[in-house]
Amino acid sequence: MNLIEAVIAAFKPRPSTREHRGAATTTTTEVLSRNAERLMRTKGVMSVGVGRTPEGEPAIVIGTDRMDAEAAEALPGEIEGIPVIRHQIGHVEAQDVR
Amino acid sequence: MDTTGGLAVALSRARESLHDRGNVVATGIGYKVTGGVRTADLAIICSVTEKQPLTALSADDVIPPDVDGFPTDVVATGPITALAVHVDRMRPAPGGVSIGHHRITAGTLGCVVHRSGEPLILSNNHVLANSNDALPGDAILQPGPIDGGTMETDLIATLDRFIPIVMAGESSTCAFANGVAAVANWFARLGGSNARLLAVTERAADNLVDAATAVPLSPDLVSATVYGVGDIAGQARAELGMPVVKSGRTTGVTVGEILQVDVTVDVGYGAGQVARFSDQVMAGAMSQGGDSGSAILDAEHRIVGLLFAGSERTTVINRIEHAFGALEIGV
Repeated sequence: MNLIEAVIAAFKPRPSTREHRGAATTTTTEVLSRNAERLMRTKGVMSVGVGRTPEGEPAIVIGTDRMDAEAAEALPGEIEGIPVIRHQIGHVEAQDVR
Repeated sequence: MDTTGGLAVALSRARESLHDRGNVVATGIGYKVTGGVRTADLAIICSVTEKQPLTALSADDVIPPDVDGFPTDVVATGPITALAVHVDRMRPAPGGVSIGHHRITAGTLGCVVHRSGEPLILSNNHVLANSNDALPGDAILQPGPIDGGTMETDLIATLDRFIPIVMAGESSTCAFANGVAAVANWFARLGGSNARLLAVTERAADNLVDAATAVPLSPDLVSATVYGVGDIAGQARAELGMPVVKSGRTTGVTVGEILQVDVTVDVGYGAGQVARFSDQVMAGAMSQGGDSGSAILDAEHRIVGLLFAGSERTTVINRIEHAFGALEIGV
C-alpha cells in the first residue's frame, strides 16, 4: 500500500466495531440455526451456541463430551465461513443436589 | 478466548498455595476493584479476614500480584460464615436460599415475582415440581429436604404452576393435538371404526424453560431481596459478554460472564432422562448441584435469566423473558 492509498484508507468511513460485531453476530445466529440440528446429531456433541473467538469475532461454539481425537477431528473447522470453536464441557446436568 | 476457563485452571492450580497464606479464607473469580470501582478485568479474588499493610505480613503470607499472568485482588470479607446461611431456614426467605418440593433434595429459591400483584416464588420445575411429577398445591419446603426441611416445621409455600419439561423420546404432550385426537376417536367409535388416531408430532419441540412458581402461605414469609446481592432492579435481556451474578444454595454469590447465546443443549435429568433446550444462554462455571433456580442478574441487578443446569465448565441459563412469558409473571 503506498502513502496515498494509506491516507485514503484512513479517512474512508467505516462501520463502528460495535455495529460490525452486531451484524456479524446476527449472521452467525442464522448460520447456526440452519446447522444446529445436524450438529446436535453428531455423537459426543452436547451443545451448540454463538460465542466469540479469542480475537473477539463471532463464532459457532460446539460443546463436546470427552470425545476421542478422531471424533473431534471430524467436526468442521468452519461452517459457511463462520469459525468453529470446540469446547470440551462434559455432561450437562440439571443442578438440584445430586 | 474462554477467559473464565483459563482463570479457573490457574485458580485450581494456585488455590492450595493461596489458602496456605495467613488470613485467606476464600478464593474465587470476580471483577477486580480498583479505587472502589469495579473494572472490566476478571481476576482471582482472595478474600481475607482483614486487610493488613504489606510490612505487617511475613513474606510467606503476601498474596502475589498475579497468578499465571492473571491479576489477583484482595477483598476483606471477615471470617466466612455466609455460605452456611444459604442452607438455613430463613423467614422471610430471600432469593438465593435452599428450597424444594417435599420429594426432592434441594435447589435454590430464585426470587419473588408477581402475577396480578400477588407475590410468588420463582425457581425451576425440577426444584418446585419434582421434574413434572407433582400437582399444584403440593408442599414446598424451605430449606429443602436434604438441608433438614420438614413438612411439620418448614412448609413455606404450595406449588402454583410449572412448565412441563419434554424429555427426549417422549410422544407429543401437546394438549391441543391430544384433544383433537380424543375428539376424532370419539367420532370414530360412534361410526364403529377401529382405526385410532394418535396425536403424534415428528419431533417434540425444544424446551425453552425449566421453570415453576409457588404461592407462599403468607406474603410476609418471603423477601424481595436476593441474599448477598440486593434487591432486583427490573428486567433486561442477556447479551454476549454481559457480566452476571447469582446467589445460590450451594456456591453462594458467584460472578460470571455470558459466553454464548442462541444455545441448544442436551441436559440430563437423572435416570437416563435427557431434555433438549434451545435459545438458552451459557456462562462459564459459576454453579454446582443445588444452585438450580438461582436468579441471574446483570451488573445493575436486573434479572436476565434463570439458572437450571451446568457441567464442570459451564452454567446453562433460561432467558428470563421466556420464563416470565410462559408463567405469566413479572418482577
